[in-house]
Amino acid sequence: MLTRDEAEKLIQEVLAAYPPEAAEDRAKHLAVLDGETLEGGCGITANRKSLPGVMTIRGCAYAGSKGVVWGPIKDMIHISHGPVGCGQYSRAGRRNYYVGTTGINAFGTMNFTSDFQEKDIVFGGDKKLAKLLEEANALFPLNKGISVQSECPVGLIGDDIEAVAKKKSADLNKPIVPVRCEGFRGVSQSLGHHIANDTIRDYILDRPKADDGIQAGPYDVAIIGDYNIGGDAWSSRILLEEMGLQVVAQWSGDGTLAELERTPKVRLNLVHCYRSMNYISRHMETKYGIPWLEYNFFGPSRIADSLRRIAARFDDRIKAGAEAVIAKYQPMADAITNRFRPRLEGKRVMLYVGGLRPRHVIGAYEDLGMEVVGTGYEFGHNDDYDRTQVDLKNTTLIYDDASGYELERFVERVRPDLIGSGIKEKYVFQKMGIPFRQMHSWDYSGPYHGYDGYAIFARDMDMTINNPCWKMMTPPWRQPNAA
Amino acid sequence: MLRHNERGELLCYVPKKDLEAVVRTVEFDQDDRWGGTLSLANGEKLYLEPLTQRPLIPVTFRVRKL
Repeated sequence: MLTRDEAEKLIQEVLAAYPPEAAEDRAKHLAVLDGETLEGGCGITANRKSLPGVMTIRGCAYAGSKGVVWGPIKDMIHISHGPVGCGQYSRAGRRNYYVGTTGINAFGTMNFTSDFQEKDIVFGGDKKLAKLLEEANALFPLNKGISVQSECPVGLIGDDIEAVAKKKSADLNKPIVPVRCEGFRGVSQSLGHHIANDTIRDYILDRPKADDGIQAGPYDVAIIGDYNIGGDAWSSRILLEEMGLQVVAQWSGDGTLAELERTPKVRLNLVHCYRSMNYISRHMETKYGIPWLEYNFFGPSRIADSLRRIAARFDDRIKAGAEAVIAKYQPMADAITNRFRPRLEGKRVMLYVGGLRPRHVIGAYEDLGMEVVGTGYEFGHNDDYDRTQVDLKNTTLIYDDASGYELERFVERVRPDLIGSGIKEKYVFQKMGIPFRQMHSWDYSGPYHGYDGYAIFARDMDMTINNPCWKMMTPPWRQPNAA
Repeated sequence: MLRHNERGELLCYVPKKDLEAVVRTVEFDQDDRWGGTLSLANGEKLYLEPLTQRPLIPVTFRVRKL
């Protein structure tokens, strides 16, 4: 167990390696929390530009817009406008599952790109974009719309993608959304989420359309900020539907354009990923008067708590439905806990993920008797750190935008039993002999949301921590009986 | 942006600073005059030109930092 003094000493040790100016800057991003609640975000400065020269793990605005918010909308074509690499190397990597026939009425795992060449940089790429939009629409006529996701060069050479989109949108009679998410904008993918949210607001929600005559049902809700990674949104959705709510839209995992357009008529927006979709939730609250509620579907105690909080916004029928759902699944969850808890009790976890999971998965680990000794966001903002404090009970290291070096030093000293982070960290820590799970993509497993997800989560954690391979890490020449 | 949180308290959100804080006091809190100095839970103070009527919350304003 880490004590406060040890943790603070550890931070000082890590900072000592930096030049004074850099150390001063990084000191603002590292903190120790002791279970107390501070006003204004753990005393951490967040959402600042990464230090030049340190190895940051952050992504870019394009990643936030194309990869996170727009990408999973399955019946739209998302064009990576610029050189081929950005789209190709991120293609389908996030495992946003969807139903549909790829290439016919769904395009989630496909890569559309304008493949910029030297001449496009020199003479501009607008003509190419116009041609591409027509071509894509002709080849895939069942697409419901097209979004143009800018990569860095488009912003640098000053192409007017808005004009092209406007013209082609009229020609093709489909929404064409120009998204100015050039990678150099902002300090991390977080600005990409914001830009994407704003374009949904401007080009989808505000788009003049004929009144579809749909009347909002009394129990209509939308799932906001669930990207259906490994099927997460599906395992969440069944719980909401079982308690009597009608889920009319999924933003944006397995989502469609029609669902987005339908959302301003729901009764309540249920926000899972606050970081990436609070902007649009706030907009819908102001413009359409739709309240929003953050919830957490990781681990049975948080699920039960969330279901009750959601039900409290509706009538007695839904409240009874929530209790029935909890009563139905609790025995299953208890059986899982009873099976895995003895194998995982007391294990210590360090997390370093994106903008939501550093706090949301803590409850699930606690249900399994594990404790979180360190957590941090790649691109969280101050309001995220505010929300994190309530989830932390014991002394915890907090690191914002940690560099490769910082993480390695922390892990070396803390020696947790499990690390949850991304692919870039995975092999470093496995080579250090520490069990590791990717918490961005669930390590190609999942879903982890909902009661069904908890079963998989518990199994995966057990499988990783209690894997016999970790006992075989001593090289032959260090073994006492080596011949 | 002003909105009510789950406990019914007035919550202020400043997008530029990603600051989300409960509004402790509002200087003028009458039906025909609303606004003035807003004191936030984190100690900061914001000034909103007093309105002639109580606003319908949620609502977004441009405010000055004091």
